[in-house]
Amino acid sequence: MNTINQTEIDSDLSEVKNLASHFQAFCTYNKLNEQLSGLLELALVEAVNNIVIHAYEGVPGNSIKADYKKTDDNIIITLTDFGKQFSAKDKNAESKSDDIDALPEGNWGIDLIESIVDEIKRSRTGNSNTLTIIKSIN
Amino acid sequence: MQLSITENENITVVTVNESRLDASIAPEFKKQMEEIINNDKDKIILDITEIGFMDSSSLGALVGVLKAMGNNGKLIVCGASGVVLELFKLTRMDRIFTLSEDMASAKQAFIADAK
Repeated sequence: MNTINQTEIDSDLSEVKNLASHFQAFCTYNKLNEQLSGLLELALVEAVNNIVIHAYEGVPGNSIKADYKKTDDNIIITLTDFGKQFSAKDKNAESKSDDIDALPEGNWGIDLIESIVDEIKRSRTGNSNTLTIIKSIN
Repeated sequence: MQLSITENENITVVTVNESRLDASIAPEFKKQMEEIINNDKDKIILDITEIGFMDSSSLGALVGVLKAMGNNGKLIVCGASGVVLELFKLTRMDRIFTLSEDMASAKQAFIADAK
């Protein structure tokens, strides 16, 4: 049986924990194990942080909609925003150096999402961006 | 952002009293840690046992703390588990930070360094 859950938050970093809490309730309801739900929460939070920081450029007062769905095979998370389009070009190149001062202090988000989930889809329709991340549960 | 600080045998133990460390509080965490380091604390155990969730912004703040320590001090991160430990591994920061499972092994690492 498919289960669907939806929520919406303001584009404020302090609101992201509310969305994460809502997602954890979805995971609990669907009996996802702690490891999987924790990693999916990480992917979700990284994606929403990127929307707040890049699509809305850190400006609160804008909408981020989240839709979670469990099918027989997958967890599907869809995020919709109405900010500017941004690409994956801010990916963080892996540091080859052991020099502490040369270490990056951010931009791991997209790499993390890619390493956790199985499929990522991005689209822009009109003035909205949609990000769909899919994780197999089989 | 709740940090508690204890001193024992020249080792400063900083405990993060938060269940969640994320982008909304990472800058404040980094600022408070830098204040501790600037107060001549050069042997620090950062106890993150209570943290059940941490994002990459917080990890970035932690890298900033490590840089602030410089070559004159040592930082051991204690108690990372679950998805927090996975975050270190997925970003390969587990190769950069000294991670200890628990407080006893973290303190032992400083004692071993002193010998």
